[in-house]
Amino acid sequence: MTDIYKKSLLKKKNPLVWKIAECVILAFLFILFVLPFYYMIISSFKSTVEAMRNPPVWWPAQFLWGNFADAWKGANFTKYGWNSIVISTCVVFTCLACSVPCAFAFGRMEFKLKKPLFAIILSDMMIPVQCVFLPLFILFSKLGWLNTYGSMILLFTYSGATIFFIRNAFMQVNNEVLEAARLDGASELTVMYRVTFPMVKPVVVTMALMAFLRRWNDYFWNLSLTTNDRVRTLPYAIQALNAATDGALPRWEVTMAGATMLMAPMLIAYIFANKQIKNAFIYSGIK
Amino acid sequence: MSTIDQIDFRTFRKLELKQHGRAYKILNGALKNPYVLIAPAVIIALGTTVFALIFCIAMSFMKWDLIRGTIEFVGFYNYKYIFTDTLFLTSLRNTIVFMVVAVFIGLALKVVVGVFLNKNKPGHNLVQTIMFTPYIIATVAIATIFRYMMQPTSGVFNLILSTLGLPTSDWYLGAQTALMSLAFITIWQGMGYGVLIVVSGLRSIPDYVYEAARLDKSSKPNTFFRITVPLLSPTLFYLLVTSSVAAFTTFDIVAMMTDGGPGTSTYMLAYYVYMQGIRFMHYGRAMAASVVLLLITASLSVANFALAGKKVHYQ
Repeated sequence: MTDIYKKSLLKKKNPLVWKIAECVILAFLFILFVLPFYYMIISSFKSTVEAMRNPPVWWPAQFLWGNFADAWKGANFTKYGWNSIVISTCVVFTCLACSVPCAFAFGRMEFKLKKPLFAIILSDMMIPVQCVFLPLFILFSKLGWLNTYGSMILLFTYSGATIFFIRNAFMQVNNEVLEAARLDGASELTVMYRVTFPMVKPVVVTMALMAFLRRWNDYFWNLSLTTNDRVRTLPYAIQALNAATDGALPRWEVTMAGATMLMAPMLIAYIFANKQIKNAFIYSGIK
Repeated sequence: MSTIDQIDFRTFRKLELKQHGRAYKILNGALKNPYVLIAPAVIIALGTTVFALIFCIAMSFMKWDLIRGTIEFVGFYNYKYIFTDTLFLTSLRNTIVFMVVAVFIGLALKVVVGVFLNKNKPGHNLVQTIMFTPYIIATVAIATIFRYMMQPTSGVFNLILSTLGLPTSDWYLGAQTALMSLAFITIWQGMGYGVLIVVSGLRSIPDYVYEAARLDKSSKPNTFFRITVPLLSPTLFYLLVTSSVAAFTTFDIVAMMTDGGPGTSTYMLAYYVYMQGIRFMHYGRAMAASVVLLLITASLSVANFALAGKKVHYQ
């Protein structure tokens, strides 16, 4: 914010009242966004009785770590967590392997059909997934690809937005640097991996992070392109735990423990790297 | 760029001399050919979106009998069916109501909060950072928290309401309030992202514009509506398009929290498509409904672009 604008904002008749109002609004927003997370984490330590008590309990009498073990067993974290880790990690690599060369070609090379092919690349940004999941379901079931790691990875390998942003980064690389390297006898491979790639690295790292996030948090494809539990991932397991809560004896504390474990990796990553993660999203939002 | 200084050109020569194996040559040649580089992405894009879409549109005119295994052309039968299906019409209405609330109220809140938080002070930055957290957390975790907090008898939300002396609500379990509860959660989850984008948009407005306004003795509301909003319009436009498409294709939160209920009060288009297609195996109907969804989102984008050409102020 500019100084001038700030001054005009603060130029109030009663600065003290304005300051207090500002603090109140800040506190309100803080509570609005912290409370659900606080309540979720604290509830995962409660006993079953405490979790259902009215009025709600804000601080459990005793911290029960056993809830996490129950959630681990109930949601079969060993299996689904393994699926989540394997698929999300593979997606990061396949997505980059598919996107970076493609973005390089669109950003730095001239060829026939460049425009229509680029339109095809961007098509997934225009078409809602609801239009394609059924055809893919039918196709994959004909090919026998349902419930395979390959199909779950394949779907997240290509992403139009990822290619678009990496292409923009490639376009910003200075041409003279590449020419200099070529004049010194570097092959195309060397030019790409030793000169161009280091320059676009920040964007690529960002996109890798987002590919991981997309796959880790995904629920829709989990649900629509699988028919059994073989390759389903954690969000599905947590939802199953949730659905069990609708039964006769809800065990909210176990559900909360499961959800806490699901979001823990992202939360910890965000606490340590919130600047980078926020910048990544600003970058993807503003072209 | 300082990278040029870091490059040791002798390394290149060594690399060149060392690696003249066949694989290296083939790879090197391939890298000069753009079609080889783009092939994997284009093939997957064609398969998973373009052909899938064509198949979807074609199938929406067919009747696929799964028991007899026959496919026959039925013209607009599927479209006629869904437009006389009360469930489809209800879900269309719900989707539009949800979109209007989640997008327009959401966008207004994002702008107001964004303008409020746009100060480089520790408190403001902290709140902004915390606000962004829900956006990177899995929706299933968010849904779990809110299912618990929105419980009518023992939930935190009703406790807060009754403490403040306000009437309590059934939240996602009440037919009247379920859709709005989902809209609330959607706005809550997307708030941090919107604010982040609005703040970075505000920071890109140059100082001299505000100085000129001050010199012209422009009042604060006047400055906001005549300067901030127009200069922010590309950002707002981006948020509007992305969030309205996201609202029209809302699926996760419905499937996680309400399953379209209570009754059909939160049945939305995306959920209708899913239920018809995967659960009831009415492929033709599901695809006809998804084509309607596509037409809406596509026309939304086109309308937005047309409007953007006229109204959006690019610097």
